[in-house]
Amino acid sequence: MEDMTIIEFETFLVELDKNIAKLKSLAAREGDTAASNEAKQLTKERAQLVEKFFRKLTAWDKVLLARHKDRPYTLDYVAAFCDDFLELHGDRAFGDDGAVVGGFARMAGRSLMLIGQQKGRDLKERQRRNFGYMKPEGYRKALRLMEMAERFSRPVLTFIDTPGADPNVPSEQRGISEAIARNLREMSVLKTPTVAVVVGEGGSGGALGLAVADRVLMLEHSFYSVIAPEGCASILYRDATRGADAAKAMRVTAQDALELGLIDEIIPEPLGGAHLDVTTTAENLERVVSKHLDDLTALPMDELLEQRGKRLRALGKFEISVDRWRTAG
Amino acid sequence: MPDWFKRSKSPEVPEGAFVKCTGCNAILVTKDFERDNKVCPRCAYHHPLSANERIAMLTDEDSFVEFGNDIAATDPLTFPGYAQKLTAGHSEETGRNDGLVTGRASISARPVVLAISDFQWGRLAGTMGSVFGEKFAVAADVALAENRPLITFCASGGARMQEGLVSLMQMAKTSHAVAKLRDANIPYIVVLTHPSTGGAVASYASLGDVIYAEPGATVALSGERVAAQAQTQKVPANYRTAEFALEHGMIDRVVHRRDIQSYITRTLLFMQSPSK
Repeated sequence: MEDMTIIEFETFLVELDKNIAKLKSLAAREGDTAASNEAKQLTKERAQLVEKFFRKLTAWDKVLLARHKDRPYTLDYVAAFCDDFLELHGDRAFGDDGAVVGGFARMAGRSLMLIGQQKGRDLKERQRRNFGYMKPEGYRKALRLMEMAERFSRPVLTFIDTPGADPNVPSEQRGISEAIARNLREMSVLKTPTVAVVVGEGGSGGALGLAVADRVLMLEHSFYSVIAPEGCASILYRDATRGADAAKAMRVTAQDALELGLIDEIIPEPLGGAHLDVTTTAENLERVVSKHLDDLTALPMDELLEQRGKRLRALGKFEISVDRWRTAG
Repeated sequence: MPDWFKRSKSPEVPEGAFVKCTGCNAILVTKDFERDNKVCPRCAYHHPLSANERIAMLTDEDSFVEFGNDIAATDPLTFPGYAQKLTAGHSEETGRNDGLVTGRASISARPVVLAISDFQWGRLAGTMGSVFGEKFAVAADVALAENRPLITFCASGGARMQEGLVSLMQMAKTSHAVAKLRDANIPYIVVLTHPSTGGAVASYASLGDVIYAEPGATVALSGERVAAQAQTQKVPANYRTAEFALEHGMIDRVVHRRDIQSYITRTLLFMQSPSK
């Protein structure tokens, strides 16, 4: 059990559940008390195992959970907690990027601009959404919507869930770097409250391009990383299969980010992960996001911008010393 | 063997008198090569320059006064091998704490602030860690306070993975610094040199009022390895170069190294008030 990944553990649970079901049906059909007792015992042990496993999730387990095939995506949360969502399309320059959705949303009695990276559930949708890799037109669509939110005094809520920005030729041709850079610059001075939530994969600059905000939150089992763990492993160990070691070395979990002072709060997920209970996860999300939006909307605009500026200016870990790295002697 | 032939290999030829061009393999006289700022006279290959070489090439004599070298990395993740690289960088490069060199200087008698990346420093590929971010932000603060243009030379592999997420955040920090310059109409000039990739071009290095690039410099979001993995289709011959970026409207000009000082001067002449 110790060396299982979360995915292996889930497979193990499926087998265990089959056995429990068998014992239960045996008990029901033939009044087998031994079977009934064993089923009860196994059910109890199962709960203990799950709790024990989730208490000791590794950084790599978090990566796998964040990428889990059943992980809720932006539109799942929208369906769960938005009374209304009117999706808007296009960057007004080139196209509409399926890897990001955005539009007018009503959440907990509040109107806001909701923008989220979106992966696909089946193969066809995955292709349409480019597996969550945003293109330049995606960042430009997002910026268009954020600037609209600014003009109509609505807060902006973004959901982050991407392996990274699209690295292909057409994206380079259309200025993927510029599109991200411009978003960073504009989001840093956007005149409306902004909250960003990493709900799944926080993949490098492609994630940050929607995540410069007054408050940055992370779901309990999401991760946020400067480079994909596999990419780091291929540089560091010359072995892309050592993603688990790289994830640990880079400290990619939500708990790490909170400890490093880079995010404001972790939003709890139900035991077993968000995919096992979307409703509860969505409730937690809505509650925490609303609390932060309440705080932010209470601030005068100049104060909001000053706080955001100070936050950004203070990012980093350094000390004042001219000889910190001087070799001895 | 005749005497004259032997003599051509005699010990009178000092070590390092010649260098081989990386671009065309031509044998060049080191003295000439350095006079030409390490650009090959035959094929115009732009060889890498250290920050000090760039500063010498660019600024009025003795005008450069460095600041920010007391800002030091802390190795916040105790990342494997990082401390050794920082130590190596410190000793190699005249006691500097980081590959980004910042300071005040004048160019054609105009006061400016410089932020120059040194790709070689510590074998860290000009990556952006916390020290990079802070030095860049301080440079922007000085530019803002003293109404000096900020000029940056980029040579970077992107964010510094050894500092994890902290380094990714330097993209946000530097971009915000640029936003403040922009609000105050302070000129901000970017020169992309080889290579300008990753987090650097996805933040401060793509935000210049004017962006110049050296010929043949790699300019791209994705590194070579990532690009190679992602490519399934045929790529244009000049893919991921300064010329490709120019063709697609991402930069203003490709400028030969010998001309960069005059381009910067002309740019400042246009942007700054006549009294200056």
